[in-house]
Amino acid sequence: MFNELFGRRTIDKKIEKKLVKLSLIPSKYFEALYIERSTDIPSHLLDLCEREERELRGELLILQKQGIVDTKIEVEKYGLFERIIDATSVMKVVRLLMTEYKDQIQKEVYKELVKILKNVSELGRVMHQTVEGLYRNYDEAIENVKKLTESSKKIIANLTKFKFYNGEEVARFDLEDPKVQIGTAIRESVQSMLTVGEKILYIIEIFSFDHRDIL
Amino acid sequence: MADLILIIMVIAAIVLSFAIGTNDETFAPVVGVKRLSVKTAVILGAVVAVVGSFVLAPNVSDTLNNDVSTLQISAEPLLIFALFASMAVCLILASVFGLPISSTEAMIGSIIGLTLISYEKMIWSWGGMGHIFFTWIFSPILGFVSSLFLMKLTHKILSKRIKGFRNLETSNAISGSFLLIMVVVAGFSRAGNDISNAIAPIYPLFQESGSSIFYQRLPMLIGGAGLGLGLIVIGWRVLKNLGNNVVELTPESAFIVQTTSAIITLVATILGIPVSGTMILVASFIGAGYGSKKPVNLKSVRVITLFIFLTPIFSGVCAIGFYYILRGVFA
Repeated sequence: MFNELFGRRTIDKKIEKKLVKLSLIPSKYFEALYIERSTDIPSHLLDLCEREERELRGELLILQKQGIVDTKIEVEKYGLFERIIDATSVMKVVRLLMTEYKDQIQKEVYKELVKILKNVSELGRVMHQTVEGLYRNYDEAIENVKKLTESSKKIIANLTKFKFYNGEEVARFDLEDPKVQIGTAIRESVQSMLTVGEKILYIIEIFSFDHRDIL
Repeated sequence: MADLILIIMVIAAIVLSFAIGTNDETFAPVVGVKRLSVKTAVILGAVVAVVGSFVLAPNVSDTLNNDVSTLQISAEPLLIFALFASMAVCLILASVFGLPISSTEAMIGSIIGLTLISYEKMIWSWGGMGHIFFTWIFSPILGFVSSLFLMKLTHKILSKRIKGFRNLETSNAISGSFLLIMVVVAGFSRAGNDISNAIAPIYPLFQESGSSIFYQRLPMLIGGAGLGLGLIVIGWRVLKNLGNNVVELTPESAFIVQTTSAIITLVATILGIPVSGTMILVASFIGAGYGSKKPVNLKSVRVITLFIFLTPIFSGVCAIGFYYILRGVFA
């Protein structure tokens, strides 16, 4: 009851801080993964990122429970949290697949995939800036969503290289091919970051006083 | 017999306080914006009701000496019981369905019913029913228009000030806190006023010269406890319905609703214009909804409006029924 009466704003501020921090994790993670895979030096940063993500996720869940999660703002904030969690969950799959299939992929292809990780890390940073923008300035967030969309298109275009041609000369993805599996996981990461951007646009549309019909 | 009547009067006062508490919609805006949960609002409302009733000096002298008919209700205990029973039934029934109704409407309807069967006359001039009718028409219009205008103005100001989600949350927190303060103040004063109706018959019995102030205000405490209990047992339905189902409120719009109601009531009191608090509040909800371009649940609005029309008729019929039942019992 005390929180209801006096503590809501404090909780809101904590949620903001932790949500912004959580949104930076995919970028840090992909950056660390990129460095680890391009240098072949195992990085403890990845484990640290995973631990940080777990801690932040738990703390955010507690904080959101302390606030009343049935106002429109709280519900939308929770929706944003879920989408960021989607992005952080898929990033771990990329690491697992890259470790598992490293020796089954041609070196050139593997290098190409590693290069894409750098772009995904940059995309993650844009996603983080979009979340920051949502809190700071709606216009800034909208600009960042545009950047997010453009950058993700480029990454997805790069990923579509990993196809094979069947007997009828039709391009297909072989879903059992390791490189396709890694590519798919990276694509899912990119898409989950895009959905964070979409959610932010939706939040701006419903809560902003002068950004109607931006979707 | 005198003791029995006194006991019945105290019980009637408690029941009517309880009934008024069940239909106290003061905390609806804070529930609407989820600033408080229904449970917390009800508990806080009950505390405010008890303290407000006890602290505020009672103003009960004119309550039963109504100026809408020539009927002298205070002269006959049966009329008082019938009036109280009918008001209590109307308020509790409406509250069970989560509908806010005006206790003044219930009271006037009952007085009209009792006047009819007592072969007394209604006073239709401005000093009597004239100003009551004016209140019933003027209050909702004033509430709607004022909150619509204020809401649009607030939207314009906020659209320039709120640049991001952080600003929005800060604005919500500030509006929510102001809203809470306003609601507590409104609940405080409303408790004092509303309880007057319920405790009017027993209040003089506690005003013995030389008795302590606590003893003198005991009827207010009894009334406040009844009101608080009513709010806890059934009142949450009204808070939930008005706060959640009529229109989707934001802290800003809820603040506008509460501010509009408070300002109109204050200005009307200063100018001597009679207004209905419930009608203003309900109309302000709808006005704020349209002003902030939020969807208004027209089905709920229609039901509330229908009950506003039906309350005086139903309470009048109830009062007549209760009068004949009580006359049969005590004859």
